[in-house]
Amino acid sequence: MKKVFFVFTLLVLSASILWAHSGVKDPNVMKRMKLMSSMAENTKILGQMMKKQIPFDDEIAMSSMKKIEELSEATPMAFKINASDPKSEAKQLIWEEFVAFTEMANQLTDDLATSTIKTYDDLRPVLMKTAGSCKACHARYRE
Amino acid sequence: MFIWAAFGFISLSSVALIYFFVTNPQKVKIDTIYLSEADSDRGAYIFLAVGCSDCHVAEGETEKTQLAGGQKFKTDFGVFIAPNISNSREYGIGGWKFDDFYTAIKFGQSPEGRHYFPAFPYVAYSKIRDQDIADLWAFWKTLPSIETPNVEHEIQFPFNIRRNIGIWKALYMPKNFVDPIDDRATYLVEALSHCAECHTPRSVIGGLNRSKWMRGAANPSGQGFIPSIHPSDLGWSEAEVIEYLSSGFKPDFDVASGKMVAVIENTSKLSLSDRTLIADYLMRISSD
Repeated sequence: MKKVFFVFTLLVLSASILWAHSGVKDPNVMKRMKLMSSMAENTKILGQMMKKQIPFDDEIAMSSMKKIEELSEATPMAFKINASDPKSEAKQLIWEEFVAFTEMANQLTDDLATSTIKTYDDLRPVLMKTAGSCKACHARYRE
Repeated sequence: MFIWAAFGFISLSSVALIYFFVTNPQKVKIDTIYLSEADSDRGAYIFLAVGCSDCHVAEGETEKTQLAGGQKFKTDFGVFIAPNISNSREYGIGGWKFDDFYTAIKFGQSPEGRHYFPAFPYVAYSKIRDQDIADLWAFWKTLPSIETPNVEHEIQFPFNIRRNIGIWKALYMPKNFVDPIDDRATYLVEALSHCAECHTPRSVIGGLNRSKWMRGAANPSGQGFIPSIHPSDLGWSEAEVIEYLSSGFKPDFDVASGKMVAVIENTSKLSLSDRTLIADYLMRISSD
């Protein structure tokens, strides 16, 4: 039952991502926006578990965390091409200091690689780590 | 001929007199203000709520007490560059007295009697209570001195003439430059946190368009749009607003970005009751 709920949540989130990105014309921008949304989507699963809006499941939680780690690792590559689109929120600064941008993404990848979620209490530190990295990156590189 | 010349002279003189009168900086008397003893701990809390550091730390600086200035704000009028407001006597406000600080916050005026540009949100700050300004000043005196020289604003003519700001103030500053608010939720949002300064659209000369209160505005830095936080546009519950002000997480678990990250760092340190009041204010903005 929990797995069905998880799949349903993912489907709803994916549909909302498609709707949110309607109007984006540049394929590279679309690709990186989807990557970011997918990261939010997996963070949401952890967040909902932490708030007890959905039941805690260590397998699902670990899977979401690993997905965030993969997406974080893929972030520098997704942003490598300096593509623009009226709907893009990426600042030009990303490409002006791409090394620092890459290091920031790698930091989250490394942090999550050494993290694990076995119990409910493991959720908060992972979520705070993820939120901290996301905010630091968004503060500097997102409009 | 003589009559026309005299008429022209009188008309021009009248305009000049009106201009002089309207744009003349205020004569401020501070000695009549009654204050209880200033408390720097309370001031530290006001510092968070007011968010001075959001604009006045250098780009990329994470320590909020390093008020060296230097951040650039591109607008239709030119580029404003945040000044050093640390306790440096040479470059900052280390040589100021309380009266100077009060006049700057409350009236948008320098100790020399020059108008500040309204990129400094003194329309909101003019509503800050005297005691809060005194407490903030007590905290300010504990902050470090940063010896970073200021950089001149790059403002286009005629907006670069500070005297003209007097006209702007006549149009947009609250009457008598002071507007005490009794309701704490309103005080937090409209005076201290000055949310409307970014989230409300502006007229062509930069005044807040109050008929579109919190409805979102063009991003002065160019790209993107500062979102509406009007409840009918936002569609968030009060609990979701509180969560955002606490952790930066939106309901879809996207996180805050741009300048809002620094704002959230501050709001997350406010008391839960104050965050709740801010959310409560946003929930009850009317659609009129």
